[in-house]
Amino acid sequence: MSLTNILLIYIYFIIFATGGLAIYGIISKNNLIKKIIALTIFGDVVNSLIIFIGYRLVPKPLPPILPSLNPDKALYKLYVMSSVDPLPQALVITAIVINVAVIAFLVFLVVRIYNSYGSIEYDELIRIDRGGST
Amino acid sequence: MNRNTLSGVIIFVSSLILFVILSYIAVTGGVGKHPSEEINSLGQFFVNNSYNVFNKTFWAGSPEAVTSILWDYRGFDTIFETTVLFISIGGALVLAYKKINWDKLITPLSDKGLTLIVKTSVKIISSIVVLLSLNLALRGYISPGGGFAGGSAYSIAPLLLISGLSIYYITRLGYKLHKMINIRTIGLLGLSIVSLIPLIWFGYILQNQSKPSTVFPGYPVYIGPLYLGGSLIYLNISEFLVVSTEFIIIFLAMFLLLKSTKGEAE
Amino acid sequence: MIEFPLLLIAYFSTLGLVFTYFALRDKDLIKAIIFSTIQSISYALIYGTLLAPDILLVYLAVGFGIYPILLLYAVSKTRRYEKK
Repeated sequence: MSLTNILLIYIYFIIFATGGLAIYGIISKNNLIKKIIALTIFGDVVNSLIIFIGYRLVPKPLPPILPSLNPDKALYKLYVMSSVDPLPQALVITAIVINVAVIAFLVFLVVRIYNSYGSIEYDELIRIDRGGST
Repeated sequence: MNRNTLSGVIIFVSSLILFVILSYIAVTGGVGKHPSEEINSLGQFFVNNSYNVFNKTFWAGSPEAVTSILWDYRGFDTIFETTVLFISIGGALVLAYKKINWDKLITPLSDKGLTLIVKTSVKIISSIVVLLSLNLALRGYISPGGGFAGGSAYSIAPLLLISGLSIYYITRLGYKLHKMINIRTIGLLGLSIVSLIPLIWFGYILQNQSKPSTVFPGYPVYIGPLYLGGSLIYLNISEFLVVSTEFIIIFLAMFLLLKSTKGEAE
Repeated sequence: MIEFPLLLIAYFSTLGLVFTYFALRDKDLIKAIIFSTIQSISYALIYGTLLAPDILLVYLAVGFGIYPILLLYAVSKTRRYEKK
């Protein structure tokens, strides 16, 4: 097994461990703001996995931007042979901006919940909802 | 208490199992392909054609493959993403709106706060941020950047000014809520006009350059010596207006709400 | 040198894992937000190493500017410490 393969497996392992930790945080943390923090981390993990699939394992990969406006044949051929995949990057840009909007909505929702119920702890909210005291 | 510990253990064990299975699937190639010497054939198509000056059949007129995918090849994705942004910002505003009266809140504050050095450096840094973000948005079809990067960078500048000076300062600069909503509408209008113009020549919605099956001549790539990159520059500027003003709307709502309830508590 | 970017990515993702753990463990929410910002920066560097300059630029603005300020706003409006 070559060094490249070992590194690939290690990166997958670490990134999925981060994702598992984030899912654990989303499900089991009691504080709603902690849940939102875990959600932002989970978004990062998914985005980095998507970009990682489009990476190119050549000695000198290039970003998907042609460096010249009047390329000659040789430059164009080099670019085509060694550019990374632009499609996952385009998908991830929109995903990041949507994520921001959704997180902003959730933050306003949490503040609203606190104004109405006086708590942002999940079990306390359930207790209040069932008619008990805080 | 005992039940809570038990459910915590169950959640931990099940997310551990999920993580082990997912890593196994990923390592054996289940989530798609691994990075290798070749990229996906679809991505290779975009790399080949986005600025193919030797065969202009499917080209987008921009050396920036990511921007040309965003606004040309997969423009519908981005349009619906803008819709999602629109709706969720609207939802956040609805949640904030019942709480406060917007017009009463814009009153001058007393002029205490941070020292002169901090205030001056905040002004300098935020003007640098504005220049950088305009550069990102306007040159997004040649260099990395574009409407999204420029818009989210631009919205940092009023945020710095709010936290360094005051909310009154930026309302005096002209960052008022209704004005922001109007500018956002101008941006959305720009997006729809640029995407619908090709229909006059029976082209596709969001068409950029001429395609073999249509008579639409395509947006101009060069006007004289000036390189414009087809429709991408107009769409980038419109998206810059939309994204930056929507984030600024969120921040204005946030800080006005913060001030109002502080006043109620005292 | 094919392995060098992969080594960098492995380093940054390990950093991200460590700070994710700190962010989820800490009872002080402001500290948790700071840890998650460091995690965001390390993921932004991953995007940069994977040759995605557009995403690097978007994510620097988002992860370093917008997320922490939104979350700090939520903390300042509610409670700073987690219960239990």
